[in-house]
Amino acid sequence: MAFIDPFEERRRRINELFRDALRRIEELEASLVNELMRLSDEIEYERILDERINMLSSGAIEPLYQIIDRGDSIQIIVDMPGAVGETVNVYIGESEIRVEARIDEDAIRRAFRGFVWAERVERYSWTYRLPFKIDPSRASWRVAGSRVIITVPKG
Amino acid sequence: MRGIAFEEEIYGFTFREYGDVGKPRYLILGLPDVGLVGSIASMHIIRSLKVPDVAGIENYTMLPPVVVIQNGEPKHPMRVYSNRDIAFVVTDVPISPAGVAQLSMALVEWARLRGIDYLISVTGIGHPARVEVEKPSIYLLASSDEASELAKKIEGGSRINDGILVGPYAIILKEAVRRRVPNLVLMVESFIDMPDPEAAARAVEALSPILGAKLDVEKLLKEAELIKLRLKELMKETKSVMARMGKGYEYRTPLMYT
Repeated sequence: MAFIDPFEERRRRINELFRDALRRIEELEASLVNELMRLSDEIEYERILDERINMLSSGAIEPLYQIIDRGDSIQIIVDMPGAVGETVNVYIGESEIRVEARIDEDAIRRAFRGFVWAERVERYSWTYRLPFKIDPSRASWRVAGSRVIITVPKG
Repeated sequence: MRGIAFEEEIYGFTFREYGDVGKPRYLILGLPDVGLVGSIASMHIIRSLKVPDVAGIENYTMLPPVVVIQNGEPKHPMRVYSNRDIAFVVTDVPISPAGVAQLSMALVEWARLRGIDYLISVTGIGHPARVEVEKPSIYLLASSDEASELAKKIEGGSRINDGILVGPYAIILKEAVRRRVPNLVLMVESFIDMPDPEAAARAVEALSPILGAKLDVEKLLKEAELIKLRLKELMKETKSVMARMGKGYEYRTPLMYT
């Protein structure tokens, strides 16, 4: 005859309940993470739409840029493919940098293949608020291909 | 979006074949990532070799509700191109972090079911001083001995010894090992968040001996400006997705060096 230990049975049962509860918590956690991701996607889509509506109605598109900390200076690379060289305008102030340029009509036509939404696109416009005040006379910029490279000394 | 000849669901993603996929040797993955290197390189090879699109990959909840229109014809945003010897996967929409794992698993499993010999992941590796680099370096990572053998065909590529890989290509690599599909990851130094056609041209040149085709990159370099202008917004979307996927991990040292 098999011996049934009621305490062992109870321990096993408690363990099972504990495991079930843990599994449910994990499932709940996974669904919450998914929901958070979905919500963050929604916010992102809204931001992208607003930004593009604004951009396309004004005719000015924002160029892509990269900011590199070089220790004693920061280097800002602003990429403006299709920009007409002689129209590149860079303003370096104490607390902000502005870059503008007209985009070549042929480049717009070829790049966007006549998409209706791109009809008004004609220039690049970008403003960057510096995280610290600078001495504009010590800053410099140059054009390399489609990129404007701005160097701003710190301090 | 032509009539579907064959449809198969893998990990929630439906592969809708409307053309002849064949049994390609190579599947080149050009998913949007660092510098859009893989996407640009893949599209250039597809154009150069006139490879037709033969299938769409869909998931109505994990991919945005999008149809791409080309010459009046509606197309799936994520497509498979194949000339029966080489196949490509490209997408017009970035892959949301919520769908990355399933899509990556689905791609490897689809490749395995299709009997594809090698998966080649093409991507960029961010270089902070890229603007000063004239000829971007190529780094290779192989999932198996077969993939290492394939890597030997790439001239001037060096094996990446240390680092962290983040994003769909990381899951694809792990799944490729698990499902025994040789996977070669080809990484070219590039801008992180700017489309980099010059880096993509290096990837195309590197792939030429593998694909057995002389792929000219002159047109790609000539049209670099237009490509960058055209892909500016896809790059912005991709950057946002990369950030949410934890791309920042790539730019730190792994714990095992401690």
